[in-house]
Amino acid sequence: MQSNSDPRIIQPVELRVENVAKSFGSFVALQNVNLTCKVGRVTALVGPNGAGKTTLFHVIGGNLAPDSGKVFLNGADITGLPPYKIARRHVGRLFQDVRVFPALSVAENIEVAFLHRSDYSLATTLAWWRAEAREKDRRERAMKWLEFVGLADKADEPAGELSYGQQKLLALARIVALRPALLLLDEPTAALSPAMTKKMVELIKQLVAEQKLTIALIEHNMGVVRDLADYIYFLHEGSVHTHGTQKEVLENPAVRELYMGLSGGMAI
Amino acid sequence: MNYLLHISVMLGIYGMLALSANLLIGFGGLLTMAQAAFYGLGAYAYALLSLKLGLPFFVTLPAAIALGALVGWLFGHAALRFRNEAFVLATIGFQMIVYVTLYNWTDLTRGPYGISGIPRPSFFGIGIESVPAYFLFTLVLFAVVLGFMHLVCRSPFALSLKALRDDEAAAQTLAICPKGQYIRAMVFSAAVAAVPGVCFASYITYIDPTSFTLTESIFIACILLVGGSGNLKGPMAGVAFMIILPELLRFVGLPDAVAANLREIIYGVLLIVLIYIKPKGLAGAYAIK
Repeated sequence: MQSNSDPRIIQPVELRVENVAKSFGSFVALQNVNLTCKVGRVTALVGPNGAGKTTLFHVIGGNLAPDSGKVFLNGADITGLPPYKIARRHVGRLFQDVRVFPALSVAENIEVAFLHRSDYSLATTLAWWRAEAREKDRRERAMKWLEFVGLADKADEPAGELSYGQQKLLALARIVALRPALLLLDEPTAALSPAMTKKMVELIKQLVAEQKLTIALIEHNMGVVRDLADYIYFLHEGSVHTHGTQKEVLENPAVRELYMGLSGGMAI
Repeated sequence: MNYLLHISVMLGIYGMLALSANLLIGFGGLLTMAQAAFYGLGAYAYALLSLKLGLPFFVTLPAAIALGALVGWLFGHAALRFRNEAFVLATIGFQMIVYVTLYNWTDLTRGPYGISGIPRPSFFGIGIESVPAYFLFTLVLFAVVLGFMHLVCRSPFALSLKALRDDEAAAQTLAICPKGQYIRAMVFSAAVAAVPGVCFASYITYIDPTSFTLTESIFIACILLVGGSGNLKGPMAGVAFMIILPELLRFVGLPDAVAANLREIIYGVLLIVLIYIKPKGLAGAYAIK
């Protein structure tokens, strides 16, 4: 893992979403969504399937342009920027469906996160005397992140041959290796075994504690939400229904009814 | 002996073409059918600059490479709006445009009559005339291209291309700009493809548009399908197989009346079987989709 003495200090960021709306034909996916993810906090987005959580991540990450509304990072408008430009502003995104680079080795998957625009010039490409040192440096840095998620012994295997859980850990390591200030985690524990879920939660906790990351988390597993979230937004039918602390949201009778189909007295 | 050296020169020319296409097809995952167009541009640039302006080789070669790079850059901006089948169609369209232009712009290219009397390269008054000398000359050019591609393969640029090939959306979340990288790949690929064009024109000393057709582009893509792509070994294995196999089939003692047709059939069946049993080709790192 990178130490705090790393010379490239990444400024912490606050994410603010203002009045975002997005429709697909007559289907309203998001309407008038306002939310704030504070620095160094884990903000969870919960809600039933189809509530618009992933669409909101698509809008923040630049994969979809909103019909109206704005997205701000530390007050700077990033609405409608393409995904790679948003990534350059230290926003990391973990997809729900993992998406490792299957033909690349596990270590190379991480190394991609270290690439910089200035590395692509013809001069850099032709500098054979630096190639080996550069490869060694990339590899060493990748191994630190693989050790962090416990995949160091798989470094040379094709990423496509890892188990689903291992691919999720690799995707997390890869996006954290980008050194993001804001992490968008879309269901990081979905389809993971209980042991893998525990490991993922611990890793996320470690990241928050050591790196002061701002995290936006979409999660259906309420145990994970309870473990991680500092603040919760409950989305329903494309808009923010309720938001507040864990107690304020998860014990709200309307939320329990709408999301979990529970009557007021049942524990979750 | 000259026959073997001639085959070796052709191995070198197709080796360079396969390496140039490998950057787009094997590293970028962009199935191009326009490699013969850049090959032809290199050949015509060399022929016309040498004959009409009398420029020496050390000027015409860089000029041909620069023309390839420039046209690749322009074409890249147009074609890289597309992916997958649409990109393939765009490259076929470009290949046709270049072929039709070479065929019909008779004032410049002499169209179907071709250009003859193209000079062999010469350095400090010493011409490379004999086949053995030309073999050595091709070997040097091939070594330079192979060395360049070796560096490209190890570069951060190649890693970013492979990431885009595997998953463009995920690569974007790691701050990689698809358009910029793909256009860079197109420029490198087109510039390198111009080198065998120069080599071919100066070796045969005669060119016409029929050497730079869509069929030729498909042949180059087949080299990568058979040999494999995404590394350096694959294109090399493909070139060896696709150039040497037809030559070997000349010596299997087929009846004269049907020899030519039978050779083509055997060749075709072997290709299909190979692609079926080895989707990554003989020595490739990536299965072309």
